[in-house]
Amino acid sequence: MNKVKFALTLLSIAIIVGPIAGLLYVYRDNVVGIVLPPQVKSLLSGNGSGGSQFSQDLSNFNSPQSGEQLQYNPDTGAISYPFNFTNPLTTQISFDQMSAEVVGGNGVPLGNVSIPATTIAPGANVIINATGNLNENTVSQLAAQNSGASKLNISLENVNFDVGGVKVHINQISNVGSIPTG
Amino acid sequence: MMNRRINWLGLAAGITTLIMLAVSFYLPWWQLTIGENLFKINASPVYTNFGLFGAQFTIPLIWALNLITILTFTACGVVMLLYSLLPTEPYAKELLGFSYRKPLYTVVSFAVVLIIIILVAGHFGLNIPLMGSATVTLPGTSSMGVTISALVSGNFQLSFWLAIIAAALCIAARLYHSHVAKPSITPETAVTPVNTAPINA
Repeated sequence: MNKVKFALTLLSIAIIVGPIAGLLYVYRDNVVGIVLPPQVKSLLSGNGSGGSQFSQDLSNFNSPQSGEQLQYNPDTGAISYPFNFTNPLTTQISFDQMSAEVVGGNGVPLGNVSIPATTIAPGANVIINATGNLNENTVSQLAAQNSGASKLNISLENVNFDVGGVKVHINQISNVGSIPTG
Repeated sequence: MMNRRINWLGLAAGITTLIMLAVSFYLPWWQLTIGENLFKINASPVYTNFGLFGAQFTIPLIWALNLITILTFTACGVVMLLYSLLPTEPYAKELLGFSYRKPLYTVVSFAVVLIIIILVAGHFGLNIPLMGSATVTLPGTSSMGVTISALVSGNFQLSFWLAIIAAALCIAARLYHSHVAKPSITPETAVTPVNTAPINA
């Protein structure tokens, strides 16, 4: 074997062995860390103990909270459902579309609600108002069927929303609140 | 003055390899985007990383493999340049043998691994496009009354095409080697001997 070939073979070995040996040395106390970075580990464990900003961001992710009671005007049929949402990420989140059908306790369609396209800045807390209209006659009929109940439980069906290009469809969210019937 | 022989294809291969390496630091070979940058995979033998909600991270093992590829491409590019300028030296064939195969092996391995990953994902109901866009529905969610779907787009980037060009030039340099390394015919040997015997009248 000539000198050049020997030198090139040595170089090939060093190129492969060097980084692997370095990696094993750095992670000698945490072998699992070689394939599981802190971000993925915190995602799998469901807590923010990864220590990075990324894990903190994800652990602070809370689903939208209903801030106030559902509001309904029996005279106009206007309904509004405010909920607040905090964006814990370092990037903005855009709700491009949200719509749902409002149904009574026994699945009778009452109307629709939707929210306009909303962009939430990093770390911002916003109140998103889902608004829509219900059919007053159907609401009255349903109340009459329920022995003149003063309040009517409502649910949401065919909930569609688009967050950051990901479309989510939920068949039903039961008992989101109750509306006065008159 | 003696004419210096150069393997021009090898020179082009070496330069292209080093340019491709530099470009690969900024552009992945293949990029997968889910939603509006909600989740991103930047796949490359040089720098593979993942993006989730705008935050980027990498896996240490992949980082080490990337470092091996970076060092390999650097060595290949430099050795190929060296060979190109000295193709007639006795050790030229060793230099060429070291540098011409690796870019091709890397491109082929990358493509094969990528195709295998996409086929495996498809087997689990995730039909990820290798090139182009498609709406992918997360499997197993409809039974719970929730359906999650997203626009997924996969694309090969400039650095991948540069890698193919570099690999092709390396092969061309190997094929051209026999032409460059062929011993040249000196003027002395090229001249036909003249018959100097006296002509008898």
